Amino acid sequence: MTTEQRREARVGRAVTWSLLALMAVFAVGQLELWPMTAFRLFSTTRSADQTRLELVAEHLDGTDEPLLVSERNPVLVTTDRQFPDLVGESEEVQRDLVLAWLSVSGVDPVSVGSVRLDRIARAYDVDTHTWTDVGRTTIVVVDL
Amino acid sequence: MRGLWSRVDDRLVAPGPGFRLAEVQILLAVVIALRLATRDWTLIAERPAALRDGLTVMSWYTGTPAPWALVAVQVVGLVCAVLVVAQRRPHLAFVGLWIAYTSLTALWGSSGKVMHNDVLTVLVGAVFLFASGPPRDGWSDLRVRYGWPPRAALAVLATAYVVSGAQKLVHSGPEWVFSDNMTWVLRLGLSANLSGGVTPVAQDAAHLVAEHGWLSASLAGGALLLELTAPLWLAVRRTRVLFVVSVALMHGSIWLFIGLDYSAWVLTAAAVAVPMSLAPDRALFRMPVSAVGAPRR
Repeated sequence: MTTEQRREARVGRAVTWSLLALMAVFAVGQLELWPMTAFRLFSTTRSADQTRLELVAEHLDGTDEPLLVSERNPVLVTTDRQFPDLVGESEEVQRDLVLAWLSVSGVDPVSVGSVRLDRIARAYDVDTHTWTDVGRTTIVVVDL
Repeated sequence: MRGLWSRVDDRLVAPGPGFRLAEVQILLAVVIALRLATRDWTLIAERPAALRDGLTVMSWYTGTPAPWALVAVQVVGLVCAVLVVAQRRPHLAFVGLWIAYTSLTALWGSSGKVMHNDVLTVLVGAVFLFASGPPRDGWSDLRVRYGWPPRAALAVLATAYVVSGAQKLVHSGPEWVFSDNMTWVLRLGLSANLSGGVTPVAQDAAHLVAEHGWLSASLAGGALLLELTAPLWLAVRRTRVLFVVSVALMHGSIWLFIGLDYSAWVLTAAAVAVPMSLAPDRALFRMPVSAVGAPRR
């Protein structure tokens, strides 16, 4: 190898092994700093015991309205992964989050007294191939 | 062990023909351009700042970008892609393309869920931030600098798949295959549209697979085996195309059955592994050129 080739090989080794080492660190440490990731794609097993979370606007007139977080916008749909965060947040942050979800769901907050987060147990019907809600527990209520 | 390590290292930095680096770089640019062109990035602007979540390379920016700014980044990225394909300042253009793509996908995915759809393309593309392609009259030159980037891309590809498989074993063990896990993955996927997901195309087929435990377990076993053996498939030149076909079948069935779009993974695997499956003296885009001495690996 010439000096030039040795230099090019050093760059190649440095880039390749650094990138692979970084990927290994994120995998072993279960770290997420996108695009570095632990690559946990479907890594946990699924079973028949299923629950889902639902935000429900409680209107001042006594009616309830489940919040459909802008189904046409994939960027907004995945914000439902933040529903569990509501529980541990301060009242101020809870209020900010809930107002944001009301906004993207097209619900006027003026008509809403509070928003609650429900955990819904679901059961699968093998004959009809459908999931039905079988129980509902309120986890947190955010007053507006 | 030391001998094996040394052989792997020697193969990584062996000289390679300039056209191979250019081919992989161009194909990756086409994949990224497709991803950039086929999404409405202005949807990011509809997300209130309060709903930004998740750590990404764009977490330093806490505002909500204006739609025109998102379109501007998209256009810059697409112009850079054209320059890479035309091989006009390809290295600089690829860096611009990668930055535009990574920025937009990081912002897109900052909603609380770790999005893996584009992550493989971004990571494989990262190799080419450090790779200088050949001049126009040097495509058949054999250099160390042209040899390692496509091989590094193969290594990143293999690592991504093997880590994905390993995480399933770490977090679920053999149960991931040998329980009714895949049955419930399919049944949950079929109801994903309830929470805003995409309605799967092959719903009847998915029901059929879910109802037959041995079929869904075979599907899970095949997917896990493919992921864990990715380095073996990709280490051997003649099995690289088979790997691309296999991942196309795996990700294709996921899309058909539960509506998750991992086409970027398939296209990225193809962009790297198809050119790297050719004999070292055989170019993908042009007539065979002489590359005497190219390692036949």
